[in-house]
Amino acid sequence: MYLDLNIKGNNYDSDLILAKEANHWGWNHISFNYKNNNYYNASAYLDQIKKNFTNKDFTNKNFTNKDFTIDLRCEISNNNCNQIQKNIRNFRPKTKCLSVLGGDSKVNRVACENIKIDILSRPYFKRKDCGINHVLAKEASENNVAIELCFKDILNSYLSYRAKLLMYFRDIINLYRKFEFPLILSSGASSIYDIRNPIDLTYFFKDIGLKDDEVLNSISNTPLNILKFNENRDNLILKGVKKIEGFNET
Amino acid sequence: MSRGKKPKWMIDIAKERMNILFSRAEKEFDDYPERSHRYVQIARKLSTKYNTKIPRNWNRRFCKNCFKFLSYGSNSTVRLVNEKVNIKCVECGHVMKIPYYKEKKNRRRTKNESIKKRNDE
Amino acid sequence: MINAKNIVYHELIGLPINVYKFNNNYLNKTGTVIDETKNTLKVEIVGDDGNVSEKVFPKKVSVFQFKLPNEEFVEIEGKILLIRPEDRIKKRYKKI
Repeated sequence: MYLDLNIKGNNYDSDLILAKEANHWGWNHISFNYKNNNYYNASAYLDQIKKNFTNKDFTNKNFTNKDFTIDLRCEISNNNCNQIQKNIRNFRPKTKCLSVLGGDSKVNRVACENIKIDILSRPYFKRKDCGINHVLAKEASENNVAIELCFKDILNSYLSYRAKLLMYFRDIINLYRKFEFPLILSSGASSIYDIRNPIDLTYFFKDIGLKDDEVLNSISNTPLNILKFNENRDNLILKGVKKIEGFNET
Repeated sequence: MSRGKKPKWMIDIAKERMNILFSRAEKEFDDYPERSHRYVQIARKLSTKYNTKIPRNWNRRFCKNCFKFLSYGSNSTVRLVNEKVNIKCVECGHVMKIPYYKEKKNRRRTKNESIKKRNDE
Repeated sequence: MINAKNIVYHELIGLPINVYKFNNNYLNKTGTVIDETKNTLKVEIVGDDGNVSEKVFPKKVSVFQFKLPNEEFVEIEGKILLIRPEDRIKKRYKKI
């Protein structure tokens, strides 16, 4: 199963084109990335997009793409820490996937210490270092916050800036091996020329330094776990307490 | 928060817990008396920790000397002696004396008033 | 009354219980709670023949399921409850 949790969404037409392209290349699940201003508009036409993929005219013959699911993701981007907490309180019961755009050192800290956030994406955004140190990595592994590496930043950069970005990726991977927080890889596409084959993406990240099992885990297993865990969030009351339907008797 | 005080919801939960514990102790006394003694011990710990009194209906159901659960008839006797209610615990021999002067006085007063009314009519 | 939100503060003695997991094995033993200490829970189990037995389960490695008087079912991990029963009211639990 190949899951891509970061595709930029705008309006109905562009979403349809992107979804068809991703189905053509062989992805199994897609999540459209909306800022918190446009989130309510997007949920209106999500059902219409889903109806296009019930019959199987759009699958390429080389890939047997039998299940293809679409979902939405909400992203919060702000510089003020109090506003971020307010937005988390508003949007947490309404989405399956909630993420915070990193970049500022204070925002990175607030995101790693909060237990209600799923993903911290791009902690190196507009920075001169990789954005995470050992203190933040330990807190992210305690609170189960995943960190996302985006492929689009490397595509659109040149020369020495691209080399520095690869250095930041390697720093994050070294911290990942020591502290074991969840890691997610995604493409971050905004046009049809940014979407790549999932197998090509795995070969690119193997070149940087990740091993076979680690890449497989971060493309298929950890996004699946995030989506599964958030389906049951209504029944969770405290850490370790949940509602069930009856005694399990064997 | 003022010094040494617990919030109100904690005290409410402590009172509900004491009620549940004492009613379980009454049900289980016939078969397992040791469990009843242990439930009284837990309830006393709750009352000292959260600084509340044991509810009034369960106030006299345990011995004040050895702190065991009293079930009237099996391990305690209840008598009326000298205008006092005597509850005697058989296991340690301690006697609780509770006076009822005021109830007797009130009864005598209402009796006299009703006789006076009848004589006036 | 005992709710699903209230149960970590409230009294566990007298509730029907099902010991779901013990050290990552699936047991399913049903009974009622008798006693509680800092590390253990005492449960009374009625077997098929009619024999009544008391068993002691440690809290640290097991998962319990309770039935509440207003007919809800709650599953609790034992790691949270590692406190003395009179101290459980004033502890702060982690949110999720």
